[in-house]
Amino acid sequence: MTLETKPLRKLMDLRRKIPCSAAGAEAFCREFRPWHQEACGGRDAYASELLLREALANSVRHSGWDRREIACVLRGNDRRLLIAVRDGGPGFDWRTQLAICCGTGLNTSGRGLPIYLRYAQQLRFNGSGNGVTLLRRFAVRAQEGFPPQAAAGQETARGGARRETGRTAKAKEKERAK
Amino acid sequence: MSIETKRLGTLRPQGDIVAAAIPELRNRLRAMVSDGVRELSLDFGEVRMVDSAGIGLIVASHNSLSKLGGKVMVINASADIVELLMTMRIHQHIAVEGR
Repeated sequence: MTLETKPLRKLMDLRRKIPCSAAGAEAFCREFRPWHQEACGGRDAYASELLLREALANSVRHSGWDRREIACVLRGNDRRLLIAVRDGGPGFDWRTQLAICCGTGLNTSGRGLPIYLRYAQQLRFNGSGNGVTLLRRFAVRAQEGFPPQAAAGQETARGGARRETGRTAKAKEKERAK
Repeated sequence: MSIETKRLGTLRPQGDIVAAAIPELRNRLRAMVSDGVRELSLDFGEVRMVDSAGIGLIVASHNSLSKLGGKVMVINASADIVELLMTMRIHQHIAVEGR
């Protein structure tokens, strides 16, 4: 049994170089919304925009004094969204931050990485930490040709969709084999 | 943005609580605390998006008011915002109510 179905939409790209500022990030997020609606059918709109905002905010925060621009690449369809953001700054020590980021408590900062980890299925930094690539996979719905029981498992597993679906599918395959 | 200022105060932001909006919101919150508000309700009925900077502002408000014997609560939040605040464990410190 295959869990993958063909995407209904072609992959669409959006490439921009935006000013490295909160206002520049905000303007790009406004451009992102209609693009996401067209490319991804508006799927997981909140999670998708949140990931983009955190990636842009991270660049604005860590880009250093020489703030020129942020390079953004978005690629998406109705199955997934890839967000790649890179700035020209020195980056940050993402290895250390990843190790300590889980206990933010009542700190007023430090929630960007936990949001990456919660809302993206794949996260990759470049070596110097001034570039990040995030992948969000969208849950497949039953009416799109997915086996009903497996799709139901995926629908109820927001955030942990990939792992939950894998377990559900394997269990059902074992039942059938018996 | 409408503000009711007394010991019990309600702030109803219009729009996203994200990095670009933080300076203005911070000033409004400071003004409310200066006016004597100690129990602050953040009414998110018109808020579509909160990011990590917005969460930082909510926590900063909570920390400031706690020192003064007050508290903060979030009300009328969308399901996405409630989920984000719970994922970040904010609800363990601040009351969060959905729509």
